[in-house]
Amino acid sequence: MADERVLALDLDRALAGEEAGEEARELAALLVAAAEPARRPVTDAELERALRAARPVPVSPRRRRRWPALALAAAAGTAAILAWALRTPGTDVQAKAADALDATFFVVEQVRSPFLPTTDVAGFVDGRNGRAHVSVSRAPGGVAADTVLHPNGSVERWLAASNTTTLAPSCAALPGGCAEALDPLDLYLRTIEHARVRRAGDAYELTIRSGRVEQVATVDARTYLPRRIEWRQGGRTVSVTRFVALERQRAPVDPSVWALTDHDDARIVQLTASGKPVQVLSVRPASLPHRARWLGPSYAGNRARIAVVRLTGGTALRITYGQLVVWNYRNVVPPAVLQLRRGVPKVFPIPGGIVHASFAADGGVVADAAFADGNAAVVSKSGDKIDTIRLVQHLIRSP
Amino acid sequence: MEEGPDAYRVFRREQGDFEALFRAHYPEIVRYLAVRLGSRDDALDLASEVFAEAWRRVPGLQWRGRPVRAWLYRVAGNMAVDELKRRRRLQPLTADETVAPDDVDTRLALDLALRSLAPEHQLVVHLRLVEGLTFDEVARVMNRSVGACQMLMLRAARSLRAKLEAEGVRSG
Repeated sequence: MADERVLALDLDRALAGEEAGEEARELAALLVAAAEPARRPVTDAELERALRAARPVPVSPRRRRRWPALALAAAAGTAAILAWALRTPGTDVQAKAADALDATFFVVEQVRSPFLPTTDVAGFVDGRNGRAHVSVSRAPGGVAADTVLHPNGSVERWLAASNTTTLAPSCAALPGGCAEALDPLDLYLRTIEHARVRRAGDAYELTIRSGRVEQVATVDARTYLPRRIEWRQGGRTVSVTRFVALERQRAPVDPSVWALTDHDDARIVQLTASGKPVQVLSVRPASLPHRARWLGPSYAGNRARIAVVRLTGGTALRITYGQLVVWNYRNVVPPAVLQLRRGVPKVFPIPGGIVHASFAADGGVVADAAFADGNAAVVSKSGDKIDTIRLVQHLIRSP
Repeated sequence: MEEGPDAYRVFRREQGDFEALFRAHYPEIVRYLAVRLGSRDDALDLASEVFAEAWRRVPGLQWRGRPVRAWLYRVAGNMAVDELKRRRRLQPLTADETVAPDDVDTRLALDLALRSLAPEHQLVVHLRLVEGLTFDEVARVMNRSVGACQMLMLRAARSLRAKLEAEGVRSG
């Protein structure tokens, strides 16, 4: 197997035109010869003809661009289903529905079901970029979950039952996905094959069928916003979602709207893209790597102690100066940094990046900076808050 | 092909702009299907079906860290399998389609050998050598590690050589 691996790498070099062994060169020549005729280009005429055939209903790019954003819009996602289903040749309802959702909304949905307690979903969604912050509450019991979806697809979700906040690079990493926000929408988008649209007084009524499941949605004919959605299975009503509020925000909302609510003493869990919890796998002393951010060989009389921390899904560099720790990391946040992130962070721009500063209840401070080529965090368990933030700006690159 | 947030932005852009998606990827899907099906005309038709499906389905895709292109290749691959099955039902394979005649030239033998590779071997060869993707990019489309894709390429090459040797065509 090791030989195979070596030959595979050798073949890669041969394909790249680099020096390689005889067998690799022979195989590369064979592959290149075999693949050569397949490079025949598609002509412009062929492409234009196929484009016309593949796009049954001409829709302006402006109109189409709105759909993907809707696909991530959490609570208002249901409304996107309606707009999607309304995309019927010969009607402009689709465009109007898309226009109606192309903004930030404050949403309150009430979901009633004969089988489950009544659930309220409330929060803000931005139909333009998929950003959302919604909370799910049930009576009695109050808020059961609080979810933030970021435009880059990452998600933060707090669950009351376990008082745990989970951070994940995408909904796919969360057990069950972002069920409260995305999965119903995705399910319907994937299964919609036929939608009937009819005018019903001052509304449009859509019926979407997928197998035994039927969704009947009511869209206001004046505002093109959804009013009510009923799901039926085998002729029985499974649930009814009523839009108690769907308010378009006229002015830009406060950025804090998109931050997860502070939940006291919540345990924080970070998942990798494959859904595995990020854990420390090993810590070993190391020499300082090239271009690491640090405070120099010593700081405040403390010599730098350097270690490489191997984590599930990545590695981080830890440089300790007594009570002060500098972290360098990329795709996985070191748990020691994560556990100090509490509440809504304060954001400070610095040259070449942005600092998020969080203040833990026990006096700890983390100043977490994102740069184009990676992240660096200064963690102080008992240090001065302002000094800790300043230190991020004083980090220097190792030779 | 971008990574991280850039990849996400590309995904969202392609998801929302069908025409851009079509113009960016239709030619490569045609080329891929032409090898799978052994017919460029059939490939043009089937690629149109792939994008008709994309028109309906891509806007509803969830971001799972993979480009829309990966979805297109998956659908194209599945449609190619269906088409080949349909052909087998309609018309049993003739000797010409399965075995290169003795006097066939090397070019035809190469075409036939490439077409008879396993689908994943065809895909790795197509992405790396026809479309010129890096192995990092190939890995993202195929949802495998870079090392696994390099091993696939090696196996594809060996399989190709074995098929040619079985036809009496010497490589190298």
